[in-house]
Amino acid sequence: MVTSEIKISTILPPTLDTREAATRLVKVIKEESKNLNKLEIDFSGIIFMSRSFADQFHKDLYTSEQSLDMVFKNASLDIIEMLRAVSNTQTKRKAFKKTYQVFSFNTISQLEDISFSW
Amino acid sequence: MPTIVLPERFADNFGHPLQKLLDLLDELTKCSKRDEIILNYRNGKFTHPFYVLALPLIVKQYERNGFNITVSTDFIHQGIREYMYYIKFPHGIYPNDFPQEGFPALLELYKNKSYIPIISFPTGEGQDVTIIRDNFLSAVNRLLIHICNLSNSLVTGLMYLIDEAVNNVLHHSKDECGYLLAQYYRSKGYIDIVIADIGQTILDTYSNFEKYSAEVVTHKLAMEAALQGKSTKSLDIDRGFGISTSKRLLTEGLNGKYFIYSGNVFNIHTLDVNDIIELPENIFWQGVYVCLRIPIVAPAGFNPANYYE
Repeated sequence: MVTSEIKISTILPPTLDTREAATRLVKVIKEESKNLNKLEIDFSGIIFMSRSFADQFHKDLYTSEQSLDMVFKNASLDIIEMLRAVSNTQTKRKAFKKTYQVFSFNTISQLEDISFSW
Repeated sequence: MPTIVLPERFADNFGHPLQKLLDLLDELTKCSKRDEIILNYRNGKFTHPFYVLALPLIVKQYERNGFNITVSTDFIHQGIREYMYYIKFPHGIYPNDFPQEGFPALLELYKNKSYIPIISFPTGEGQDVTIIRDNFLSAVNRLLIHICNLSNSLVTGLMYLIDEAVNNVLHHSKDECGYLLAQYYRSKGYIDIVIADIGQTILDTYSNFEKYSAEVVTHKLAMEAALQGKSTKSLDIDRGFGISTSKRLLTEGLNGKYFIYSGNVFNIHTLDVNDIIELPENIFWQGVYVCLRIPIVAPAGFNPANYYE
């Protein structure tokens, strides 16, 4: 199992605002994911994601035929909800791999806001 | 002597007792085998099945790994003291301790309560064991039906959900017992049920099955495989739909909530959310822990058969 991690804060600013930023990130993801089994996208230090970014991110990522096991790590509740909201509006794009979005956290306290919303 | 103070109460939302359970597991990882660990529940005022069933199972898990750990049960507040007495905390009731004809009489004690006691059901395969277990679980199911006073379609749905989870314990846990606890919240409109074991994780199950052992190598992949219905039953019978059908029946059919936790990964499935969460490796459940929130009013036209696949 070959795993790699992309820390978004090393590539983009703390607020993810534009479609172009999403396209740049997905380009890095696709480059990094060659010959990998699993890729962790670390959102540490990212404080905001715009709908435009989320929409472009989803569009660029999920129209690929490439199969990759991807985990979103240390994403805040706001970012998770934005990704989810955009994902629910995408009806014509192929599922990237599976039905589920997968998130991981370094500490249990990061999960608190998310678990409270269930 | 590290003492971990347990929560006094829980919020109503589905996730709060689960978060507190994960917090507890996190806290325990800071303890060593040299410590005498005390889980201090003296000041508890209100508890919740999703949390309270985990406590004796955590004690068993940790004892198996050589830890010295206890739960203090000298509750100060009468309400919780009474509840814990009736649910037979921490050990629950074990059918082998009673004559079979005594089950209905035993469970009769609970017919006017809104909860059933902790049920510790044997997982063995011998005929005697299976007969005892089947009779016992049937009595438990009937008690739940009586307590909750559900419509026919909901009764079928409730039984389907419980039986699928219980059967997964029987077939996969490879441990002595499975455990069940349920509470009916009439004013809130739902039943909370937890069904658990401390045997094999889902990954352990796939690891022992040649067809998947090379492909399913992490707890996350095991969870995904289980949720997709990849069966570990042999004879080319592609069963393994219990979890996926249960989730759909509960969430899409009833607008309920489903939580399944094994290893360091869990899946949370509601009408709004269907996520897999990977925890730090030390936040670990050896076995499988399933929590269900089942609304007691079904949407019009609800037919459980639509979800059996």
